[in-house]
Amino acid sequence: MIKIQKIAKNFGDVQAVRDVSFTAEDGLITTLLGANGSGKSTTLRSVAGLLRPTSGTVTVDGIDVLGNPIAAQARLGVFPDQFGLYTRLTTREHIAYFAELQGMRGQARDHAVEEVTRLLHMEDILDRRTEGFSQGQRMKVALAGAIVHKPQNIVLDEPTRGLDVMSIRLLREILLALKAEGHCVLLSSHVMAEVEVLSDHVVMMAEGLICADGSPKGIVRDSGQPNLEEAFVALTNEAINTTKRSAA
Amino acid sequence: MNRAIGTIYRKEMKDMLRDKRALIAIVSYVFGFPLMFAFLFYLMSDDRAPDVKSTIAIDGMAQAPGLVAYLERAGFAITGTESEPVPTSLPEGADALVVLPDDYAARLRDGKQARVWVYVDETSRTAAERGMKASEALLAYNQQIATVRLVARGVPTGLMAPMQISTGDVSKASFINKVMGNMMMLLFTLAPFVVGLSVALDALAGERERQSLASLMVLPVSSATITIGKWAMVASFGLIGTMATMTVNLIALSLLPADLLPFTLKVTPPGMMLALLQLVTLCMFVASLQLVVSIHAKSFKEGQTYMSMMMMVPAIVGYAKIYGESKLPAFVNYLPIFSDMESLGSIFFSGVVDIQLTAAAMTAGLLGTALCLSLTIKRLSSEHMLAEA
Repeated sequence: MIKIQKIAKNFGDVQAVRDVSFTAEDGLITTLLGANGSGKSTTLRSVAGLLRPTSGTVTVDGIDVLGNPIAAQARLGVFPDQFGLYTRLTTREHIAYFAELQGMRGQARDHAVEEVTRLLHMEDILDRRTEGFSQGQRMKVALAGAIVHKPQNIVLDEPTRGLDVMSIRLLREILLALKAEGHCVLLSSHVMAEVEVLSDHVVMMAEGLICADGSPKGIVRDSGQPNLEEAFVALTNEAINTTKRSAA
Repeated sequence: MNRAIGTIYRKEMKDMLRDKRALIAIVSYVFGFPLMFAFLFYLMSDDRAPDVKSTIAIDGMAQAPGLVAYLERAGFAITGTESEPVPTSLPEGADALVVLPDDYAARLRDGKQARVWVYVDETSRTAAERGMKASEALLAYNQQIATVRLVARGVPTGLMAPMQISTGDVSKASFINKVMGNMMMLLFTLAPFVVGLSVALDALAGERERQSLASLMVLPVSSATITIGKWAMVASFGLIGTMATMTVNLIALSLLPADLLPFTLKVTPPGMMLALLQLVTLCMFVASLQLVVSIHAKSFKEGQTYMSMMMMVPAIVGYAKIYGESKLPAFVNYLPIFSDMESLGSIFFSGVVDIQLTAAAMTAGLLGTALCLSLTIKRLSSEHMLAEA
């Protein structure tokens, strides 16, 4: 479980995130939904330990990320927004490297590599160097590295960006399978269809603030709009206007 | 932490051994410089062969049997020639051309002055020096004739030449020998800089360029672990390259004929052990320095610019030592690079181990390593770096 309490993050005079609080429960897929620059990535980077919030706390399974980042990161599998690969390593070497840095050794590591390879249907590229891989193949290798140690909590920053339909369908199946196994899945997206199909819990963000928090159906119902996209536009505009009025 | 360092080290080493740029850097440095030095020594060997006779071609040799006999006694080879009215080149194989006028013998017999032309080729230093020797020999012959004439007229020779000047060389090694020896030491000292450049850049600037740093930084390993793992790989690479450079150069030097070498190697087994230890600390320091540069670059290309600037420092330090050693204050011998060159030079050429110098070199290397590693770790875990990852 990932719990975010009143976090704020400033970059100089820019307030990227302000007073954000929500909880991503185990066995659910929680999606941060927002336009570009709304604060989704900053929030997820704070969860992953890449950024230190200006104020507030983030806990992963009760472990404070700021106070004990190594222990918190050991409970996480993170698929960052930019996932470069080591092009001179094979897929197998790549995944094994991440498994070893998660503390796995010997047969346990080899077994984990085989298992995640089967899960992501990547047997055909297992012993190929990653240079020249398609975006879909690169996504699979990066995701395999993030989940090879079967973390309880999985964080994905816009995982479907740049993927074709088949890769998106595969990713969706994997996330649903992880959810069914009781993992906590926290991701960010701005693709409405994907969010609607995949998410149990949506946290809508605009201007670094949360403007809605609930199930997709609940948010649509409470907003009085016909669908999630309309609800997103209405709630986002309302948040932007409120922020402008406060600033004035 | 140790296991994670080992994991990072093995991955980085495997990655770099598959990198053509890194391997080309090692091979070209290790094998390129011995070839270059062998060529330089070959060129220099002509300068230093005193037993090779200079040749003087004389136009009008039949008129001057005395001159020919004098020059032959002075160690010159003499050949006769027919020159053009205004010579534009020296005869084949000659270091100087002496042209005697048709009335040379008659004027000499009559006690008159005879005009003698000496042509030399000053295209290269070697040719100019050989031509100069021929001119000096002619002047000496001139002086001898004058002396004989004065003695015949009852004038003591001391009136014409009150001083008899003889010169002797007391230096342990000639300037050129010192320069070549110091250049060899600079070659060893620069090896970790050249060999480690590509791998150090790939280790951190490369991670940023290929956008793989974020994936690494979200893993449960500290910045110190990542830095030390990568540093150990860069230092190993530098050490392998430096050892290979030293081995290949020493083997190449041992294969050269002794008269081609401008210096004598006097390295002893204990001295060699100490030199290896010193090179280990040098490689550790250089690797840590290169990582500091690498982490401040966002791409390989940007890093190459910084590295090129950084490479100027050891090169300048090395050349300052080679050419300006006598003008430098004593304390510089305890600075990195300076102390390494001084200590290695002492071990290799004197066969003497100066413990104070070697200890200074190693201490400077270890302190520099600690400082640079702490800077890299601090930078890697900084908010600025993580925000960009």
